[in-house]
Amino acid sequence: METLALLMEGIAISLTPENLLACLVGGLLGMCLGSMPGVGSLAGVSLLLPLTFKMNPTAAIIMLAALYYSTMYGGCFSAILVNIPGDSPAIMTALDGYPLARQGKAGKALFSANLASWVGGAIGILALTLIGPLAAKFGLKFGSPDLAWLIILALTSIGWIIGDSPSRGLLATALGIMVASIGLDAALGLPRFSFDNVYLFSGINMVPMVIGMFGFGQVIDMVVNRDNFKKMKTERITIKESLLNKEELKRILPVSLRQSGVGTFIGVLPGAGATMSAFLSYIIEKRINKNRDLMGSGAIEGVAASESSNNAAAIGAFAPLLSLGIPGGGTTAVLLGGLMMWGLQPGPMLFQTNPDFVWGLIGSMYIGNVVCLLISIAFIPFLANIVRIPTGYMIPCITAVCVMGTFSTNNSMFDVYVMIVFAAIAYILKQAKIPSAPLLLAYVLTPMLEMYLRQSFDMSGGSLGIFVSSPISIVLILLIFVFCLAPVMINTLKKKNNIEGNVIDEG
Amino acid sequence: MLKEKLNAQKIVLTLVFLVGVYWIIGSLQLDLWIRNGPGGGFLPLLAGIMCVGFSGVILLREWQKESDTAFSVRALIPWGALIGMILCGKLIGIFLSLVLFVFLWLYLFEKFPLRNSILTAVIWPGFLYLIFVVWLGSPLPKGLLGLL
Repeated sequence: METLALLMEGIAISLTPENLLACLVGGLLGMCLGSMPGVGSLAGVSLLLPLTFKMNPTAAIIMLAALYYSTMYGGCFSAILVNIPGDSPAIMTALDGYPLARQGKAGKALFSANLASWVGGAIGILALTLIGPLAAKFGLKFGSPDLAWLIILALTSIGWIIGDSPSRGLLATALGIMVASIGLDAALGLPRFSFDNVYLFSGINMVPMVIGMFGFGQVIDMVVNRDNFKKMKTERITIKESLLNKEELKRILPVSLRQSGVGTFIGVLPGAGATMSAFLSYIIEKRINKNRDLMGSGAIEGVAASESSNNAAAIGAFAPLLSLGIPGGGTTAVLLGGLMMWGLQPGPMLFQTNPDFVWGLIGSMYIGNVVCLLISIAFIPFLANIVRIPTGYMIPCITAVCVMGTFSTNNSMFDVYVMIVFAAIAYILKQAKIPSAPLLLAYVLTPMLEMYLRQSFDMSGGSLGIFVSSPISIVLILLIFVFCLAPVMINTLKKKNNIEGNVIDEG
Repeated sequence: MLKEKLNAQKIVLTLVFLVGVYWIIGSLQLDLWIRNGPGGGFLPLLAGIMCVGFSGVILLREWQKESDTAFSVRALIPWGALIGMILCGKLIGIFLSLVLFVFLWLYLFEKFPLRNSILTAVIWPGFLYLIFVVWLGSPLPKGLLGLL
């Protein structure tokens, strides 16, 4: 009952003109950015971050959150129409969406994707409304050692989960800790790894770093892979031909409901985001759906599975972010950095100290999700046209946003140079297949980890025993072991099965 | 043979390995443990060790394989253009330099029509000027000539 009252208050806050406008602008921008091939939520949120400095924190987070979840809607457009996912969570959408488009059913695929996205979003928001306050209440029981373990769990899990190679994920985590260690140390306030540069005494600023890695980094990607983007051609689509009939609605609704649950669960886990949930949901549906044989060659069930799941995961990721201060992936890590820049401390206390902020955000999601559905269906022809914008136009335009956005952070050209350097770092890491998201997550979480470690040792007078003194710590340590050992055990089992299979074959 | 082995992945991983070594050496010069707790060098040392360890393991694993990645010369184009734009901005100011950059990129590099290139070069940076300079109050460097 208390939650309902707080939610109503939150919806009222989100309906103030400033917050409503922020939600609409974020939703519309996210939809457009999501439909542009190659521009994802991470680049979008990074590029928009400098714009929010003049806004109040509630309006700012409402805009960025709307941008984040609406890119999930927008991402399906380029995936379905030109087989280039707008964002990585839409990869699985392309598997069935593009074949549907080639069969002349692009409109129906887009409508299915948007409807499934809405269902996913709605379930994710409901789950966030229920889980968020409970998790925050539980989070109040966490002491500094527990919080230190929680951060280590987030760092190790994203390292293991992201990409094909866990060692590359963990290498990226190490690099993130190294970047975060530049500047004054938390213990004595002495400069470290600042190369005697006064600009680096306060550390690497997050905005130039994320704009360089994910904004200008995207520009470089577009230039390098420009031949892929040049082949895009789409057919015109009308709203009338996009509408689904009763039979088709019956096919996608159960799938959407089922996979929204999967997506929400995955989204709440640290390190496992929308991309992983879309993969998992598609695989599950491929096994259990009665039309599974059609999946992969143009089934609306495939589109609905991945889209409902990725939207639910995107929203679900806000639960650990708001209640425990732990981001689930790259985009939520940028949002966490944003919260800290606006002077808020994410974590269990946020629900108590800033209820207007938290419930305003959650309330805005109810409105934002409906707005996104309406925009995405009403503007199907318009958004399909956005896919046709030549990449050539986007390259200098995004570069201009990168330069002005970075400069405006501190009115400093040094930040622009940092942006250029981090774009180079992101590019060369990509060549070695080292993912950037764990680096970003480690960069955001390391200062907190250092603070909690220090606090724990101060409390215990230097004794390590404090790290195993509470049941929460012990559970977290066990989870860290599970996260670290599971991939190793799975690989060993796979190898063993292969060997046994070969022996049987040879026999 | 040596050229085949020295591909992008191996070069990057070697660089990362060396950065890790540098970080270990740097962190050893800081306090590792102070006042009953970790000092400024503690986490960087751990990160450096992780970096050296993982990059070393991946490097050893990749050494015998043929790489499927290579540095692209094309990647240098946007950097070159951006650095040129910043240098030009020192003279005519960042805003005008951005306008020029957008126009030249569209007209010369992308070979788009003159009209479209001019319109985009004026409208987009102009829109950004309104947001960042007028609304957010972030004055862009005006350059030696003291223009916009």
